[in-house]
Amino acid sequence: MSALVVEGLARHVGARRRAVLEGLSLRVEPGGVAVVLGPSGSGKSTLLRCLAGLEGFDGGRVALGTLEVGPGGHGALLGRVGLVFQSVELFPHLRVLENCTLAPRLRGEADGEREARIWLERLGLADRADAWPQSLSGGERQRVAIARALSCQPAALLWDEPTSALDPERKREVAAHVAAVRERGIPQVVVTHDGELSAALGATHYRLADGRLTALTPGGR
Amino acid sequence: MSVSALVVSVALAAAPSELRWGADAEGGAPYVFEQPPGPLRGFEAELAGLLAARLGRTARHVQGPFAQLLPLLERGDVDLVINGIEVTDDRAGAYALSRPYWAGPERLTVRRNDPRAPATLADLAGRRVGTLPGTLAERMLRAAGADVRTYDGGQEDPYRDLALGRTDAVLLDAPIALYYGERPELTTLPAGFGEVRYAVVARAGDGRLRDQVNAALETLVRDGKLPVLLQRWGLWTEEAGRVLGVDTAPPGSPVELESWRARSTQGMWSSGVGPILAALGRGALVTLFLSVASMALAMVLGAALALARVYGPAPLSALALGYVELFRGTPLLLQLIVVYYGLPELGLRLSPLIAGWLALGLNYAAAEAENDRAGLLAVPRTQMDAARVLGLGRWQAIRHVIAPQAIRVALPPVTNDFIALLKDSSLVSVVTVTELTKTYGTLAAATREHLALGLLVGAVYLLLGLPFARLSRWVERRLGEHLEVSR
Repeated sequence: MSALVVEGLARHVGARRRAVLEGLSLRVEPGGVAVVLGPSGSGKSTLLRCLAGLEGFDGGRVALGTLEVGPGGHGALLGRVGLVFQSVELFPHLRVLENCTLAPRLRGEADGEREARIWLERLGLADRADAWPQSLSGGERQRVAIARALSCQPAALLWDEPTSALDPERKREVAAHVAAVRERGIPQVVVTHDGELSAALGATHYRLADGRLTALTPGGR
Repeated sequence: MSVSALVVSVALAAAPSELRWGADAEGGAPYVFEQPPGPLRGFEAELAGLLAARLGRTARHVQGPFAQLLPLLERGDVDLVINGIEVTDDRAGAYALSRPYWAGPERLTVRRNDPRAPATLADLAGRRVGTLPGTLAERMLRAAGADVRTYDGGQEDPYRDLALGRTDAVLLDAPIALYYGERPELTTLPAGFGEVRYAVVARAGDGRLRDQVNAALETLVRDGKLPVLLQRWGLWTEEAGRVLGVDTAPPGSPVELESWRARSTQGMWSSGVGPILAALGRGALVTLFLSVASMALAMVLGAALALARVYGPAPLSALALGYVELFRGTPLLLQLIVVYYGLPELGLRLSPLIAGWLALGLNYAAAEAENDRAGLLAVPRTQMDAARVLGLGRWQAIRHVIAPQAIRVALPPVTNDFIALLKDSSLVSVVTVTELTKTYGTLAAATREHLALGLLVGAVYLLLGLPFARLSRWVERRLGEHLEVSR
């Protein structure tokens, strides 16, 4: 695994080219976790969408091992960077295992199902492989989304407000999931404003403001 | 004719040894009509057979609505029109008309028990009088100052309205009055008014065929076949003798007229239910075949239009929107007529079934596009993001993630549209396809059983639509099964 490196990322939106991200830089080592905090509207979601390849950016670069992407080249990140959506976004017409194997199958990867079953097992969903997403609890759905992202063997994993839709007792499990992914050496970025989660993660904390990241004291705010 | 035979015959439309003649069998006796069981009947059906035999060709009847017969001729779908077409100066200028094969007066029909029943043309001023549109009778009525009611549906309708008291009289050509104007509640006055002549019509540029028809008519008069034919149908008149150049009435008795009157008092069931059901079955098959094929076209094209609108680049999206507005905003009947009669002007001559299929399919594609678009928009945008992040291409995401969910929303209205299409398919009779409603019109004109046949045909439409409604409910349930499971 390689580090996720972001240098001078800039993103302007709208007719007036308002700067949402302005020269943002970040480095997450293999197995490292960056926790990004910040008020609503500070650009946290934009940052994740840029890193995942869903949105282009106007300046700077993102590097993941041999993959290096500049403005206009964000499409190359699709399928390489996993993203656990705040709204989870399971595919309702596919069973749990099919949710995980769809992308590997379409890419012609033979070991997609093996990889998917490994992650379902690790996340305690081995017996839910044939269930429909609608029959799962909120926590189970999120774990399927994690398994789905990891079944594609991403080079980095992004989390968007992973605790916001969960019951209080389930929120604590998220830190354990992040830790499990960490063991694989995958660099992770967790966007949250859940203080309990950020404390439990005990990783490097950043605050996003004015389009830039400022490092905070590890474990504190 | 089975559906496959219909397709084949359409494909072979212009075999040179055939003499294709146009007539509307829904018009009725004694011209061209259907009286199940058996082939097409009528004095003009027999005349067409005799003419074709003289020309060394095989007569093939092409069904068309009366008002569309001359357009069909111009379009080249038929070689001749033989259907009580009156000789007028306008027509003599625009078409190649043969010498008349019949002539006779207009006759006035009234209610037997009506004390105020009109007896002369002068009596008709201000009275409600029924007739057929575009005829000499209509012009005479207008000149007489009558309150004219015209009927497009066939010869039975004006007499039916007269019997019901909706009009005071009917003025029509003697042959029509003879076959429809004598019944328990109606009587036709012996006096005749004016003179109308029927001619065979060929295209203006087809003078050679017209000359051949004239020569054939001449022979048929000389050898007595045409006069005898008219006599058998009860149509021999002084005027006919004059235009045909025959002084003495031909031998024989009006056996066809007697058989017609006998049948119409017995009602349609006299010939048995079997032939009528068989005719309706053939019509139903054409309706079903055409509707399923048109819906298939509409669904494929509609899906493409919806995808273009929602996911296509701006120009393509605008084009799809324009298509939907155009086909949704104009009448299906107009589209059908333009496809069939208009496109030939651009060099595209489609066969009737293909034209009907295309017009129905193109029209319903607009409705399906809107259904499908609603389905696509019902899937949250974030589902596309989720698929793309996993590395699916745009089209892969649409195909494997968006479309399967969109179909659930788009499917229920499709059934509704299919049933609507099943009913709208009756419009294709204007382009000579004989489907279920046209079959009804033809049978009803011949048997006068409008109500019983109408209920029967209504039941057939219901039976055609119901299986599809059930099928859709089943598919809907299958697709939605796992989505309704709550935690």
